[in-house]
Amino acid sequence: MRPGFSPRGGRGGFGDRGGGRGGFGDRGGGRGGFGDRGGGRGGFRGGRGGSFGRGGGKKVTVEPHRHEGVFICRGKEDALVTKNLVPGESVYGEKRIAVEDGEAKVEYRAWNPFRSKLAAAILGGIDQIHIKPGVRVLYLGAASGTTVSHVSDIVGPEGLVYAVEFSHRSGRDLINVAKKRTNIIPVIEDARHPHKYRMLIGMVDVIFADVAQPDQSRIVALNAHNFLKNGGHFVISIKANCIDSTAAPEAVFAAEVKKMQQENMKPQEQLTLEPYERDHAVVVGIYRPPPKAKK
Amino acid sequence: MGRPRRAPVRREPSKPESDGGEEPEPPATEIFPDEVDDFPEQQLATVMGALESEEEAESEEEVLGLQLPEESSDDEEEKDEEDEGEGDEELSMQSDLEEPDRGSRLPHELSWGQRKQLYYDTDYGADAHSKAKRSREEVEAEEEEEEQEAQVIQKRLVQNLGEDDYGLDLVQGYIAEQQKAQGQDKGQKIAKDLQMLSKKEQLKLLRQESPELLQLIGDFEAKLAELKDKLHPLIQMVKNGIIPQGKGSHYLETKYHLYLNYCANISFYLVLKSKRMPVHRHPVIERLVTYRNLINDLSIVDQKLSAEIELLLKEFPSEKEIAAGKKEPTLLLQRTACKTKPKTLRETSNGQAAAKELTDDSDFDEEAALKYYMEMEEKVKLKRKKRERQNTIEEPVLEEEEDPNKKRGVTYQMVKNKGLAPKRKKADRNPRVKHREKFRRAKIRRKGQVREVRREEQRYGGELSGIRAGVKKSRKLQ
Repeated sequence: MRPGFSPRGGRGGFGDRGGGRGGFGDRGGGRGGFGDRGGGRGGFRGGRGGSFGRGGGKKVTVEPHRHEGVFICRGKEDALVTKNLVPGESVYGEKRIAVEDGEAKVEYRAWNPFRSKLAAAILGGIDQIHIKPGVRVLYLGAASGTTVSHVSDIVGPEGLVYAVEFSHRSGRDLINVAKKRTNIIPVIEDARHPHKYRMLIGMVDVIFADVAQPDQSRIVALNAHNFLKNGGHFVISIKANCIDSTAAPEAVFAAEVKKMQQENMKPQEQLTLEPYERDHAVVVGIYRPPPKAKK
Repeated sequence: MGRPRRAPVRREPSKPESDGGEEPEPPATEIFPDEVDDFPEQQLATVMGALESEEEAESEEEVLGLQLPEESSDDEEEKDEEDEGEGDEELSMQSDLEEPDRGSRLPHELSWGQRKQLYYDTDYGADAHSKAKRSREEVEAEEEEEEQEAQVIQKRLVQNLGEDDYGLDLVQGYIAEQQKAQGQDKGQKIAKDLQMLSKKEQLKLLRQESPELLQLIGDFEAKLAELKDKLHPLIQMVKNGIIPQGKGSHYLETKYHLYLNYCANISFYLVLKSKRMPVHRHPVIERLVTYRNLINDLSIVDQKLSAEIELLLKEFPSEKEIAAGKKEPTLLLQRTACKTKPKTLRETSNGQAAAKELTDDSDFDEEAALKYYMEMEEKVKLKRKKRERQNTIEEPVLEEEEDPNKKRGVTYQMVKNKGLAPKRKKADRNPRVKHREKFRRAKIRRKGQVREVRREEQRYGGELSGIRAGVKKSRKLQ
């Protein structure tokens, strides 16, 4: 928005951190740390595995999605699913579908687009997510690890997910998820200071950012400069209200795109997340794309 | 008891009957063809001979011996005790019946026992039991004879029956009588009815039959009287020249002829009536109606001229002899004078009278006449209406043209006085409403562009509308 404006200014984002961050009551504020993803959204729904109604008596088929590592469960209702990396475990009380593929039993987890912007983007028809099996992903704003778990499913055992979350409360849940999933490396740090966790994270292929901060593009750019490989991709979810609640969402998105372009990030596509989120957009781009002459 | 005894005797005459077929009087037959039959006959003859001798004696005795003691009779009875039962009866019966032929020597077949008891217990069965010893043939013969006897009796009875006995003649007589009476009734009925009915009823009947008749008769009389009293003298005046040739005389002549024709037609109608010819649909009715209408039309002129006519009639009670020259001028003078005064005086009364007449006519006129009249009236009315319409159409144009001085009315255009302002939409009058409408339309348009945001009300179970993996909806940048 205002490029020259210091994040430490009157926005209150960082000023709050020292005092209120530790408490419980801060969660709905929305302006807090990176990990806090807005009202009503957070919350680990307990470890209840629950009997999965979908898999009950009904015949369902699972077919792969255009995006590698993502599957579609065809039944009465079609659902987006990922192959569960840890069979028998639900991360946030989501449904699980067990499918017998020959002898091996494969379990899939339903992916709720209302809780995951990546799922919403996939359902909305995004062209590329660049997250696929075997890639290393830096996930900024991991929160409780709901989407992180699905990303870890997608990248599989060969891939890696560095999940950065600043909120300790959310970070606790994230750590619990990461305990079960070996390909998740939780980092409870502020994403604005990548140098603090630079020792933990190697070069990554994709940066996924869902930080919902006014200086979102700058944060992503910092991390990209530090960890993203040349020609690597970034997927940024933008909440228009968090950046500028007074401006029109389209204008906000355009401004963010412009900022990215200034940071050597080339946005390639943009998608709004209706009907799952209001005034949200996902921008996918490439970092330091190889020069065309190279071709 | 008498029967069985007599049976052999009776057999004989019955036989020939059966042989010879139907003989009206079986006892009359004297033919005895069989010798076998002769035997009992002879026996009978002997007996009868004896009886006859006795009879003679008896009759003598009777004549003689009214006072005679009973001894002799007793003796007689003792003498022929055997024959007593049959003989006594026979005698009495014969004397009663006075049968002409006694040559047969048979007791008359009607000479049966009179007591009922004689005929009881004579069944075949009983006979058979009592006389079991008798041979079968005998019994059969007896039965057969009995049957024949019954037949004979039956036949006799039938012959005795005349036509009267059946009661048919009575019925026929009755019918004939009735028919006669009916015939008489038919013949007399109408006459009787007409005669029997009171005058009122007769009139009523007449009215039912032909309602116009009475009216016509009345009219006939009135018109004839008028002809005789007024018109004829007036016509004479015209002929004599008292009334000058012109419209007046023309009027008189027309009226005269009209009345004459009318009366002639009525008389023809009456003739038809008297001959009991059906007058309905007869052309004379139509003719009458037309004449009547014409007379009615003339009545207007009548009213106008009635005063003058009366005056004329008064002045010239018998004008044949009187010269015309003197009175003509006075008349003419009076005419001019009369035109104002007497008219006003008498017009009212005459008018009323005429109206009355008219109503009466219409009331009592025949149906056909009414119909015809109504039709004509309607036609005239229609014509008038048409004319009036034409007039009304033409009039306003004339009026507009004729009234240039009159002030024109104010038109809508003048009242509004909008000038040359262009036509605007209703929504444009109010900006708020216009925006509201714009927003409404935009919302509708946006539905096709962006999907409506929905919340996760229930636990997410999947996409109801399905997932299409191949769809790419993202917007490419640059």
